[in-house]
Amino acid sequence: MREYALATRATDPVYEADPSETPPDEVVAPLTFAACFAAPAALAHDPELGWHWNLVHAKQEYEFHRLVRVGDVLACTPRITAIVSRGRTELLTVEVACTDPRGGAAVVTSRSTIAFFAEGGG
Amino acid sequence: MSHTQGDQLPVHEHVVSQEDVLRYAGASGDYNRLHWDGDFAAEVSPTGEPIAHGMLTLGLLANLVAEWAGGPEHVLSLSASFRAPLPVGATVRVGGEVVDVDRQGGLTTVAIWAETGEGEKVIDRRKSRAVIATR
Repeated sequence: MREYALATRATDPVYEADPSETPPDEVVAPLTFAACFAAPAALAHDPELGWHWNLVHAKQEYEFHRLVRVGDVLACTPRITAIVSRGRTELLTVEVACTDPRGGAAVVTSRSTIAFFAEGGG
Repeated sequence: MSHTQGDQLPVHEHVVSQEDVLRYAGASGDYNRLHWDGDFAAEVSPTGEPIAHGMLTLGLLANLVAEWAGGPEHVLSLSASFRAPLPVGATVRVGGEVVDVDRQGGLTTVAIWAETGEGEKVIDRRKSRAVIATR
């Protein structure tokens, strides 16, 4: 999370603080840290999908139901919600629902649309 | 917090270096060669050069929005449409403008955007929004 915060220039000094002196539940994740655990690439190993890496991220949506903190355990379930062909490009939309496994409350919902350019599968 | 339609978020400017992109790759687990391998990028990148992760730009923008909103707990949703690539080493500017204020519902909608130093639209403000809870 510290590396993610540094790469995205988060200004909260908590990310630079000594982790041994900071209670983990006081460290709130940057909003888009969800990209680390709710990424559509979780499906890259699905043999039926024919994932390849000639792609770009076309669209991203997040709904934040509550903040994520260091030490949280989340259950993340990816679901393909659309596959659309547009000429030689295929658009894959994956929704990942991240919930608190104790009780099932929604934490963050991610919707990613990935554009795959013609090459092999996709 | 009281917002008015047309309010501008402060514009933040960053240079996204190869080091930033490698750090983002390591933190996120997205090691797509497009972001760091010049030979691979020469074949598949829209610019022929390595480009930054779209999510790195959205991360810069999300941090701006969270700061402006008074903390990430006030941000209910983000949506972003990625358009132009951001070449590694390029300058990116991020900003936003309040486009809707629902005082009864306690919601402010911000059109968010990112562009290169040359004005290429990396995140398209027409299709990118942040929704902020104001109470």
